[in-house]
Amino acid sequence: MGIPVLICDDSSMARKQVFRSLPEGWDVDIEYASNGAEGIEAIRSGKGEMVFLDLTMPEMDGYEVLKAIKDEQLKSMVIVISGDIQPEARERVLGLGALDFIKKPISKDKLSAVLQTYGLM
Amino acid sequence: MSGALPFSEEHRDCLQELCNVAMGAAGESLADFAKVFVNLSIPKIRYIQPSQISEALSSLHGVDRVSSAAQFFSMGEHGGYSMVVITDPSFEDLASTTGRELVNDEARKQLLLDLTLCINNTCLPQLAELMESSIEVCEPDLLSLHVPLEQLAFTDIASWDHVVSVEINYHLEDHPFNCDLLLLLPDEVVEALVEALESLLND
Repeated sequence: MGIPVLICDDSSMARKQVFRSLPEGWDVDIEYASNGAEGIEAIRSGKGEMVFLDLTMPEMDGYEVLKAIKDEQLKSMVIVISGDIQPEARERVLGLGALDFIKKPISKDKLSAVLQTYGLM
Repeated sequence: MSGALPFSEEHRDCLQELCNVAMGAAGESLADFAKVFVNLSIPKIRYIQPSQISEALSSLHGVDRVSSAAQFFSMGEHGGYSMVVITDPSFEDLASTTGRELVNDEARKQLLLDLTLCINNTCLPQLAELMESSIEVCEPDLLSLHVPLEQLAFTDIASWDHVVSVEINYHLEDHPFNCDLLLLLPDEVVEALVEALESLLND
């Protein structure tokens, strides 16, 4: 069994970009969610030990997902991947418990650098 | 009524994501300009007639009067307008956060043009970069001051058959400021746009 990884973004192109940026040979079980509400459901059912999370989404946005993870004390490592590059957006998500913040567009290099920082690959 | 888009769902999704990234970059510029955190929204893509421009501004529905400015841009074979539309209370709000005085409509006009440049100067080059294209942007023109939303018209696009519009809403957190950025593309660039999106999707 690989690590349960959830990719949560309302854009199918963005979800594919994250998938293609994952390190090769990484032992993971991938799950996708196209909005925050689907995302938090997947996390509750254990499919998001590691989560790549967008911020601007319908139903529930990324901030609300982070807040729910915190409130419900769910075990999940979240890396936010967003086009919202305001420094305050980064501070807010880190304050809500996200591990790190990556600016869109995602790339293999950017993602690998972050994963290496936390010893995740 | 807005009609069915002249491209596939996959192309719509791709264009929306590119606009999402470009608008995010412009959101930072706006936050810097206004000194307030900017709440971003999901870009909305529509296919409308030039006379229905107010329908493409769904985030402003319910407001009384609006003012607008626009810049023409050309991106490779694509050309279009980037229009900034703000509500009346946005003027006073933005003036107070930026420390300006709105003594008359000339000052309002200047504030609107500066806002338009602030958003477009980041959004349009970022969009071009994502689409792997070069870009040229003309100076902004004031289109209207304090007109009722439903009477908002844009004569430069009146001769277009249909318009692909992308609505991007910017809201200053806990402030009355409410502004729509509207990208307007004519029918004749749809083919080239789809080709560009297709090539990005196949990368």
